[in-house]
Amino acid sequence: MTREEIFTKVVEIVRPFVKNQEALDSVDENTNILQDLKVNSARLVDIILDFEDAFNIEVEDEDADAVNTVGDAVGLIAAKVPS
Amino acid sequence: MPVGNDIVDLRHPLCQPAAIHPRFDIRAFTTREIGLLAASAQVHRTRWSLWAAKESAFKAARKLDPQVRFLPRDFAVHLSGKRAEVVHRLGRFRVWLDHADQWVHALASQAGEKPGFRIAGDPSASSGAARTAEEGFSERVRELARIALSALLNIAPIEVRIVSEDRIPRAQRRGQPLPFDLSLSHDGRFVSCAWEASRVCIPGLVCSLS
Repeated sequence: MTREEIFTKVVEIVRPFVKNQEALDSVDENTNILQDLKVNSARLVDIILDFEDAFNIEVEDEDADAVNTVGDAVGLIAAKVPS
Repeated sequence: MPVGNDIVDLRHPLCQPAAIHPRFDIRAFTTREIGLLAASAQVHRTRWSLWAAKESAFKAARKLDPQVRFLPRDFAVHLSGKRAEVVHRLGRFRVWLDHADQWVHALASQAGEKPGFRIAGDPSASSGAARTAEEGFSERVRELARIALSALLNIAPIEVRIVSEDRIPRAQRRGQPLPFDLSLSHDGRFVSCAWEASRVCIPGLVCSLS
């Protein structure tokens, strides 16, 4: 998968959990999932689990905690899936 | 003493049992906590009480060590009715749990006495509609804190300003810090604030903050 394909899929996974839809309209890799998109921390657990299912990967707790931005998520996933 | 709080709207569409991921509990809770859930007659409320206890303890712990990470299973909750103790490498946190039909609220502190807190919200609003209006809740929770702290200090709410420093809320008056540790939370239709008064008194202000 290309980084662009992962980005697109990450945004689609995050979308249902986003409170700030305006921020989602201009989302890029620098967008902070908790602070900009206003995703609740409990929902971030669901998002990480959805990443695991969608990309067939495993995300350790420490790696999950390091996901702050959309770009962090894309980078984490890109490192685990075949390019 | 640092204080942390967390409120959960029990009717928020995204926290319903059918909405959360099937592996959520395994990811968020320790084996012991999962056992508590399995034995609970009120699984939904217990799940979010456990979560709120962890989140509130994390918020308090982050003030002790800004580098602390929120790994939910690292905040082990020992639940006992409306009280809990959260054990983390940084220490033990007492947690006071309050709940109503539509929300649970957790207050964490290392102090012996329950911190002050206020909860507000509109239970009559539909949880779906509230979800789209959550941007305004950030301002509402600050307003709640301004009103609560100003009442304690016997000053006008407009004199209290809530600022954020490294995502930690601070109360100020005329640019000077007020003698409170503060925590804010909002979820769905509800907002809550909690505070722990320090012993520092500011000249001209009422210093009995109990």
